[in-house]
Amino acid sequence: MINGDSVRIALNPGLCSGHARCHAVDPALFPIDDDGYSELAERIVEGELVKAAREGAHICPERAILIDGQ
Amino acid sequence: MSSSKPESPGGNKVQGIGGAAVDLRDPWQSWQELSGSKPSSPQGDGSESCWYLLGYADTRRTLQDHELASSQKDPYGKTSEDFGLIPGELDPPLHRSYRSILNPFFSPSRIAKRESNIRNFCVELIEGFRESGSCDFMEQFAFLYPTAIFLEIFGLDVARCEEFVELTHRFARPRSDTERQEVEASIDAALHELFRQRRIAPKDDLASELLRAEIDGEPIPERELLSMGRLLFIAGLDTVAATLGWSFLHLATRPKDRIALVDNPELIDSAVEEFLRYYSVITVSRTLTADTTINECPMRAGDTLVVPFAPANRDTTEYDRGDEFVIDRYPNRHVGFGLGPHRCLGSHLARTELRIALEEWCSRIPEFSLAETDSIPGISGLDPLLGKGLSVPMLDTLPLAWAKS
Repeated sequence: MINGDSVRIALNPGLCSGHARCHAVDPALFPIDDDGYSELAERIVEGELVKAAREGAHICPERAILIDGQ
Repeated sequence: MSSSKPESPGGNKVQGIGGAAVDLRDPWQSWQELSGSKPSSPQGDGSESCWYLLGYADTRRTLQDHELASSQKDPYGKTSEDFGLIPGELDPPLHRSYRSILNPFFSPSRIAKRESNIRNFCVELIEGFRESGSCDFMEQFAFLYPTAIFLEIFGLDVARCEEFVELTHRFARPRSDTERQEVEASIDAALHELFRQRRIAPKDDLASELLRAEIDGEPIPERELLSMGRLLFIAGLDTVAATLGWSFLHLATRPKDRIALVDNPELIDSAVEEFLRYYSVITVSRTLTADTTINECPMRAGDTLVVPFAPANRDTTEYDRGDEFVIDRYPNRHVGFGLGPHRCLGSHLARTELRIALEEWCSRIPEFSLAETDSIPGISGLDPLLGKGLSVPMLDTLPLAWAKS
């Protein structure tokens, strides 16, 4: 259970097609490989990074980034 | 109007599919008029139908489902003899083998390293006509700029830029099958000669990289390399030129947006995305591999799906004020580069080219407008809107003028 100002982000690798829009939002939060495809490992993001996590997930045209929490 | 062909630059409306009027200043509106009445519109009357997907949800579902919606010309004849353009007309898993060879060359980090070269090409072109106070944006900028960049990436001589502009233009919009074959032969001959030279002396370019690449431990046969090269030509040059044309027509006729970019260059990133959304020039097709139902329309295996990105990108059920150009739209989850495994390989290059073009124009020629304000530019390639093909809607000319410095 995630409470407060934090979210869990994870990748659906079957959906990532290498748009790299998440990476453009925050390169450290949304790493990509040499081909430009997401290397995001499931993690919990807290505090001031939550906004970028939400934006990165929301901007993905494939909706390949799963996000939950408050 | 009863004509089925664009009458440019005369009348400003022609008849499109379903009888909808096509406004030559904004041909995309005709998709919206259609999609308002019926999301998917059947075409053809034979045993195999052709369907237009005009909504965001159908477009996304279809492009992401390569098992149901195949990119191969003949999804049932999977022999290597049947392939079309590689990797665009291949399905996974074979598609992946070729795509993974190309991906690193066009990744965000590799494109970022090219940024100064791209900017140099852009500045050189602009400075070539800036003091004259006018230009034909299409002829003097939009075609030359992406072509020069592409030739350098591939390993071809940038001095042959105008020759390749002409070839690409004819390749994308051939007037006959004979012309298409002639142009293909010319492109193949140029690529064949390049591959011959690079086999002897490799350089740091895409041609050399393709020659080094292996699939299942074997080098790629030349006829497949030629197919890949041809696709890169058609995919990377025309599309950027067309998008530049529509973007600069917009700025030349909507001074408020142009001034916003000049005064606030930090808006350029979001403007690029909005141009890609609002003026989507790409239409793709897929072949159904099984019977299915989309939007209550019963479709059969073998039917063709025509998928223009434009109406999906202006779908107001997906985008707030989707039928309006909003220069600071963010986040902008558009489908201008497609979706699924065939997502535009050159998307990172195209974004960079568009951004740099806007940055340099806004700083070097901040006040420009249409040179002939009464004229409607001619447009080639309206066929997708008229239901006859997949070519890119392209301004023939775009005369711009500004105060001489």
